[in-house]
Amino acid sequence: MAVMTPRARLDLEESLPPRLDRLRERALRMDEDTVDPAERPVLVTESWKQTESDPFVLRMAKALRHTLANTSVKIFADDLVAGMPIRIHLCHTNNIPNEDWDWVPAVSAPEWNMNRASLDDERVPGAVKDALRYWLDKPSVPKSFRDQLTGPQIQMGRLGIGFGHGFLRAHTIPNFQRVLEVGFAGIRAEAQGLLGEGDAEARTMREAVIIACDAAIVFGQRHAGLARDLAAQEADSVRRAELEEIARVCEQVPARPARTFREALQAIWFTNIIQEFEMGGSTAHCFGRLDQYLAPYYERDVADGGLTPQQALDLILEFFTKTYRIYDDRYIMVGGRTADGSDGTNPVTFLVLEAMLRLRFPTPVGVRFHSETPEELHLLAARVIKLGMGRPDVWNDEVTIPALVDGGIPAADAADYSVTGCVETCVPGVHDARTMAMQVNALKCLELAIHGGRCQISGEQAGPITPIASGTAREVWGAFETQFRHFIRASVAMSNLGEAVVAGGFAYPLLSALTEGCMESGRDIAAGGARLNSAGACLLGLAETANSLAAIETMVGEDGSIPWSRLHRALASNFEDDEELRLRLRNKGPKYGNDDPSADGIANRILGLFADELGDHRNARGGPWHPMIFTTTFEGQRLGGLTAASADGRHAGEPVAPAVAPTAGTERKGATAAVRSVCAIDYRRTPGGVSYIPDWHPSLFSGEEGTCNLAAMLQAFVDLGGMEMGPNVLSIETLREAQRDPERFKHLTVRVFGFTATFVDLTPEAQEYLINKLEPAA
Amino acid sequence: MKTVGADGGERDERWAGNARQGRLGLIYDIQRTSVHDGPGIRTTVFFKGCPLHCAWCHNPESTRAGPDLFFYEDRCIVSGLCVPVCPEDALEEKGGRLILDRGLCTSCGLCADVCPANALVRVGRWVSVDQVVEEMERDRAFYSRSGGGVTLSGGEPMAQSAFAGNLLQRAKEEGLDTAMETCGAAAWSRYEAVLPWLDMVIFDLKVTDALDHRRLTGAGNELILANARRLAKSGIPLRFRTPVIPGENDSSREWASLAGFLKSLDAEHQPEIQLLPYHPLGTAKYDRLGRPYEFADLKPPTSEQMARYREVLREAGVAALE
Ligand code: SF4
Repeated sequence: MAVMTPRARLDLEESLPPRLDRLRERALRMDEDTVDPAERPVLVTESWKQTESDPFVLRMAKALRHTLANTSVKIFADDLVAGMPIRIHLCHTNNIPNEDWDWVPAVSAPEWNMNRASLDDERVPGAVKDALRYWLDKPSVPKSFRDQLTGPQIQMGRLGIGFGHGFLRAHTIPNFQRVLEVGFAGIRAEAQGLLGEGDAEARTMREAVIIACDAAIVFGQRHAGLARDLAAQEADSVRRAELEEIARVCEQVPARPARTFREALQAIWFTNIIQEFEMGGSTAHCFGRLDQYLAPYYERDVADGGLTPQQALDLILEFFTKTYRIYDDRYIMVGGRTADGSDGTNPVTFLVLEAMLRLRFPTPVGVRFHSETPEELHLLAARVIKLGMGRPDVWNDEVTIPALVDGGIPAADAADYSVTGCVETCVPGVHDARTMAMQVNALKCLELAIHGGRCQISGEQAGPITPIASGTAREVWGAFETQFRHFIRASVAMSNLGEAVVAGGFAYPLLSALTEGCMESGRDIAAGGARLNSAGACLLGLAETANSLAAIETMVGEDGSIPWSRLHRALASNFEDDEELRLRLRNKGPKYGNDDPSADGIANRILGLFADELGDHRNARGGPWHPMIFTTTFEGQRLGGLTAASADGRHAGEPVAPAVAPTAGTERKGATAAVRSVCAIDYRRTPGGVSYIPDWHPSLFSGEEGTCNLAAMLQAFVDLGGMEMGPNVLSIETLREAQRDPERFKHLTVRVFGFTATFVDLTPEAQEYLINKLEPAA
Repeated sequence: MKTVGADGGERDERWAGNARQGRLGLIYDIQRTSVHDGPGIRTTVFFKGCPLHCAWCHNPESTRAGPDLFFYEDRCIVSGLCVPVCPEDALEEKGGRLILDRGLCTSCGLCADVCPANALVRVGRWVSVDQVVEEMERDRAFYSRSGGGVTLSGGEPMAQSAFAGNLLQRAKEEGLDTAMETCGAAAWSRYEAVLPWLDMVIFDLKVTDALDHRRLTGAGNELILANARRLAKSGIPLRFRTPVIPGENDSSREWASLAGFLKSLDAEHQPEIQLLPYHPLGTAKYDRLGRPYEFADLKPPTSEQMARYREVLREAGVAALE
């Protein structure tokens, strides 16, 4: 297929048309067109009170039907796509009926939705309070999970060593293609056909699917009816025609198959809203491979003359104004190979990125690259990355697909992978990836290894007793392996316990209807009904653990000049009387992130151990464990805060690097060296996903030549076997942070006129100069 | 890594022979992810030693043809580990500070090896051709995707031309794009010897006026201008670079003379020129080397000035890059 390059077609610098500019402004105002967050808790509670004798799954379906039949439906001026966005999430209220509603931290919230908002708080609307009172004494899944935990499990989590929950909290991708192909009426018919088959659970499940499909169909019809009413009252003939068209589109979708690009996009948007109403709380209800779903419609419509590329772009722009909210992790994937291995890059791939250039919203878009990805796509991705929003991130098919295949995912499914949330792999429409079901802090395991299983922060004995006599690298590795394996096993067990609780306590009929395997087996996705059932296990503290082990190997015990007793004492006392040793550990010896095979090799050994141990276990749904290396910066800070001093010269409490990133301040050889280290990790072993967010100063990539250099960085990343990278081309705020905290930003290389330098080593005046240089571009 | 050892003896003999034949060279940095010295993403090798002594030099650690020692006093924790290591008794702890006597120090670097804080840092190390080529090879993926490669810079690569030639030849044999940044102050025969292995030359031309040149760099520019002419004639892609030092080389007379010189070159394609604004970014390095910095009060040119100078050159028919 000929790739249409957007630059040949449209002027990228062109400003938004007025209608879209107004939609953009409206999105930024947040509160004008959002679903009232008080509606869901009130409606769900109303329904719940009337279904007390029903099985849980039916109650969920009926609650969805009641909600979608009664939630307010509005169409605003300038809308061509119908369906109010849920811009504001009330975590604690949206989590009913089965999640804790009083502990989940606020994500994007109005003022009164603070964490643990009390029922006495006068800012909480009365109707919400009344609804919540009903739930005060009701059981919740997290509560019953916590009640079943053993002492060691609670301790392991509390001390920041390991943790498992096995929960299904969003992070799924429904089968949008099925909605487009047969509509909810078609899915309903399928459920109807299977209604009498299987055991009681299966029959109830399909009954619930029918109700959920009805709910979705009614939701579309309500929008069609509203659009018709509005059209009847509309004086302006242009707008009247638009409203009539909205009515026609909503009569068709999501009930029946989408026939056009516009209907397809409308059906996808409705499905997402409906899914958020069903599941509430968590937000990572992802869109999957949007360009793959839309391309056939786009091509047909453009060929028929029913759609121009400009109209398609405008629809995508409008769609992005709808999805906008402060914190959005509804990942959209574009590009990449198709199931038959060919290049799936298509005109919609470009339109999606172009919409990002125009709108400048940090929509969570990712791009899949492989060896045959067209150069124009690299360049366009580089242009978007240069906007400094940290988007899109890039994925390497050449590594990710084989990793998933190694992880037990059939090849055709693996080729269709996408991402949920931040960087968690998931095959749309077939896969319950149960991402981040457990995590183990490798650095804490090394701490326990060095100190005989005793936590140095709390003083508690937490792990097996692992004595170390002389501190040879072999001996330390052996002790580490004992602790690490112990806590991987413990976290697996904890996660599997969580999965068992979830299987009876959660149910999502609509999502299950859109996940292959559920309808056939008559099992809800939460009960393991999906065709593919993996679980994600996070490895944390990789860089610090590798650097610590490398330091011990090269500098300590019989192999080096530092006696074990001295290191041991210094670590136990947080380097209190031995700053000299700390600096030596920090400044000398190999460090991951500097293209040094010895340090990178240790990182791989740690990962290998993690993956090997996990390979011996299954999750509670019978599927494989998928290792992943993923930590948010926030989680890195929290876990670092719980981890004592380490042999890489890190003080107790200092954060651990997020995911596969090198430790802040240890990268000394520039961006390419860091990228090479990151690419040296054996990603065949991390099918669950990884994250790498390098910080790059925009001066390295200024001008057209710079765009090409940035595109080359992305291509080289793919060539070198990296998995995921989301370059952060720096903002003024980040540079200010670097000025305040130079230690953390030692890696930051900048271009200064005719040379390249480390930002934090420049004089304050020079730093100011570079920051000021960014101002006009911002 | 071999260094100019304080241990003397036999090794020095061998080392001297290797250095003469260009198997070893003295460099002070290998910088990866360079985007300013030639096309694409590059690795730049900084040679140590320069025949010119530009008063404003922002890389003062590059000028001496021998190792130097950086002392970052702000990093020093006064561990005292370095004091007994120094063969020259140049280090002393006094009043809670470490005092370095630059008069005694030979920059042997032994103290840097034991300094836990990296407060004492070697500047300059002897490296073999293989070592450098191995480092260059590492970023091949980035070169091939960006059209980049390797650049020799400095200091002055032509001051160690045998080593530079060996490096360039090896790089070329490995299929890498090569560039060299030079100040032009070396015998023409040296350029001739390396030209077959070069894809591009970046020529730092400070000032065309002979007297000004001598005043600002300590050397005349007759040889430099003659080399520029010969390089242009050789057909190698050539890019000039001129630092703009306010009050020193930015008179209208100088711009006219520079433009005249560039236009008089007998080159197939008219060479480009890039103006680099002076900036006091090297100030801290003078402190770390214990050297005075004469240009401490000099203000950088404004961006309006820079734009005007580029315009002046363009009006005179010269391709001045942004
Ligand atoms: S480099 Fe250090 S050890 Fe060598 S002479 Fe100078 S001060 Fe002494």
